[in-house]
Amino acid sequence: MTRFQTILVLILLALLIVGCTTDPYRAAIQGSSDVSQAVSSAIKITASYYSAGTFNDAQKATAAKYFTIVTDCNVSFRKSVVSVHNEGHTGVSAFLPIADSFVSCVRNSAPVSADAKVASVFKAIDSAINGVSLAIASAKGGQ
Amino acid sequence: MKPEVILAIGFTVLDEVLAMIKHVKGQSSLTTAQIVAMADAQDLKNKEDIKALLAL
Repeated sequence: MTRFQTILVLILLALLIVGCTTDPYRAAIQGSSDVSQAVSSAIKITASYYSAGTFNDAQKATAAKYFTIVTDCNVSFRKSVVSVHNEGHTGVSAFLPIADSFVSCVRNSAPVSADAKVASVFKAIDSAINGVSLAIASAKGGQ
Repeated sequence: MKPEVILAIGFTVLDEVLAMIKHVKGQSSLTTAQIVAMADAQDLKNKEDIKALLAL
């Protein structure tokens, strides 16, 4: 099944790069929305794995903890982005540090899994999170 | 693993790939404020879905 997830990651990255014609604020918000969608997909895939017996209880619990942390960090990220935008900031440099904080928020709190099956489910979400900085940095707009 | 189980997982993953494409393409016609509202709603739904996942 990792082949399907690789396709998911590649599609996400391709669409992120294609969508790099927007301003930094919109890029940040779109990136956050993409992460939300990636989490939604990962939850469904995890449920499917669990129902099929591919994931056990511990693997499901690890995945659920990861999804919760990513969702909490993403909500904080989006609130900060909207707040900075409402303060009148428009440039890439205003939003990139917030995206870096998002990455740190997940890395510092999320469970680390050496289990290849669990890690494969995290992969698409990690790509979406890392894609946020890429999308902001590639956006058109002021500094 | 039984072929029908592999197929079921495969269809779930395929559905999610299509959902991701639909999601990204759908954003182009929305305002930024609408995308914020959509993401807020999705995160709330994700929280509920995580609870349901844990209850399986």
